[in-house]
Amino acid sequence: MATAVAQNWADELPQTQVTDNGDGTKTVVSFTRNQQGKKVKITKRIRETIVKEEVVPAVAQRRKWSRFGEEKDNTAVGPDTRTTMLDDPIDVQFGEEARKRKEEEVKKRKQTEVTKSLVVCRLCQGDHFTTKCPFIGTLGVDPESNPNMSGNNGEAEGSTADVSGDSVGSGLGGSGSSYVPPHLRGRGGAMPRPGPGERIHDDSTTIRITQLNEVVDEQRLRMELCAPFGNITKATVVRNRETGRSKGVAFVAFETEQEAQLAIDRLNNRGYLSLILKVDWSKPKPKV
Amino acid sequence: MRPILLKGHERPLSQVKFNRDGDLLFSVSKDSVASIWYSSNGERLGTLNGHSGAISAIDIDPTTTFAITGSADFSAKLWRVETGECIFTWNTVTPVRGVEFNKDASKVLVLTAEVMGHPGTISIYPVDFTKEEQSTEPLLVIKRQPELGVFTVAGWSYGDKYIIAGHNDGSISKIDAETGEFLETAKYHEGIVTDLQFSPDRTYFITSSKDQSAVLVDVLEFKLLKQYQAKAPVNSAVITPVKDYIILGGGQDAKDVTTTKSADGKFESKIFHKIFKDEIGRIKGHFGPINTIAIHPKGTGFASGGEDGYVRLHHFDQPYFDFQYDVEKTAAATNKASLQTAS
Repeated sequence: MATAVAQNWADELPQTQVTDNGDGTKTVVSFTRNQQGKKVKITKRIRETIVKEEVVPAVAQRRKWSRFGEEKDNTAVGPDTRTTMLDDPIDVQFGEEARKRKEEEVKKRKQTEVTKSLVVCRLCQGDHFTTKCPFIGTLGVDPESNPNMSGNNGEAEGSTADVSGDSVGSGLGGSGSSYVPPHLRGRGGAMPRPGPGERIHDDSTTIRITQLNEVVDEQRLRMELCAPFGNITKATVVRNRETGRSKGVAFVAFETEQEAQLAIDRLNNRGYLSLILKVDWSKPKPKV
Repeated sequence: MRPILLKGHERPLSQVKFNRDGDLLFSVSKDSVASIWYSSNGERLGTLNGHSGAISAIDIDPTTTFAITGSADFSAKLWRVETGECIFTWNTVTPVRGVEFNKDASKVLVLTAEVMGHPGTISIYPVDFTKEEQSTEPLLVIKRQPELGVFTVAGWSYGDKYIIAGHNDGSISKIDAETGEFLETAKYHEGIVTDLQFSPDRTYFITSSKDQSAVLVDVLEFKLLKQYQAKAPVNSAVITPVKDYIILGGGQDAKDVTTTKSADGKFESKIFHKIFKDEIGRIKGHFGPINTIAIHPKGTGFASGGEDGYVRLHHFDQPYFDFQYDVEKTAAATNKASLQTAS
């Protein structure tokens, strides 16, 4: 029925026009209808190049084969988008990646070493908890056999003023009498351990940016401002707790000190979004 | 490099293979249909319909006239590639796990699984394409030796002299292709041998295993030449022509995938240097383990089929061909210099 009704001339799609531009290119003007039923004019400028490829006769023969099986009724010219898709390009870097990966592994190993050394046995100085110490039966009973313990005791003898700290050392040996709160235990041991929730901060690679425009968020900080200088491990903008508005101060941690130094040199006193940035280390560097 | 994504299968891929000229790519999957693709643009030429169970393997004769598929529906089928019609069916007592033509496609090797009390075997059937009917009487049936594991993979060595077989206990054996006698056995893997692919001249081969490694072994002396360590189970390994590389594909087991992030699953194809044994590149893309990898016979690209049901067809870029170690560069330079001084 639809075909019998004469269509309005305005609804008809004009013919595709091809004009030769003379410089080896062609302009193709075609018309289609989009999903809303509106006419769309598509103008394409194309250059045709003929690429000659030499193949084995059998291969050329096979190109002419007609489709079969589930593709038998498929009349699409070339690859059908239902079965064949071009994926996003991927950039494979040969050699480079392997090197990077190795570096990462080394870094990871270092990190695990650090976490390992955080756990130190108070008896034998091994990297396990004191309760898990294999020498707990031998070392724990006799504090004199542990050089560290005896050292602590020696200190306690020398300076009687600092009782609370040093008596702990001997207290572990089982000879202490007074109660020592947990956070004071282990003073005079191998190293101070951070309490719960308290993290060790390495600020040596962190820079502080002040006079930053309020519109800058972490994303822009990372991508726009600091990306060229190196790998950013952490970027934070200081915000008002209630309103969430930026206070114009930000901290950016880089992987290495050189990268951070570069960022300071390049960004300090530079104009950014109509304000002049002030960039310095987040904490003053100890003078060498 | 821009991979072509081929979405012709609904279930995990079990094997992908190029024909000898490399213009067609064949893929089989657990959805019981085989697909044939033009490798240049990824257009699907057609499908081979007829199996009623998961297809485990496919092979193509040197002239790309016939193809053979092996399936879990207890059969191996012979197909005419041009039309996609099935021309013959061999029925087996257990599911077929592997099929391969010999070099002139006069014989075909059919590897069957060991289930339901039947022993796993490698049967060699004669093939004669001039006849309508094929012989269902095998020329040779190789049963596994009791001290070795079940056959998982098998293939013809150079000159069809030997059959190399991989077992599920990690051992590899060399079998005389005429008599079926076990000539040599070596245990280079700790886990199940998942794939076996030969070098272009079939004088050495690579096997991959679930023990997260792949080994390069020469056929004649059966010696371990190189070992490549991946950080995840390896399901497929190929030796690339033109460049001295190895491509490994694998990843976390399918049953563990739901508990792994795709970044941790190691679902990338890993390119190793064949001689230096270093990993030199990774090609990501699959979001499940890679089950099978095939290399273009001219070394210009490769295809990988994954547990995710996709085949990814890659054509290598110039950097792939240009990459050289520093020692290779200096060797080439000194070679050139010495040639110049000589002339």
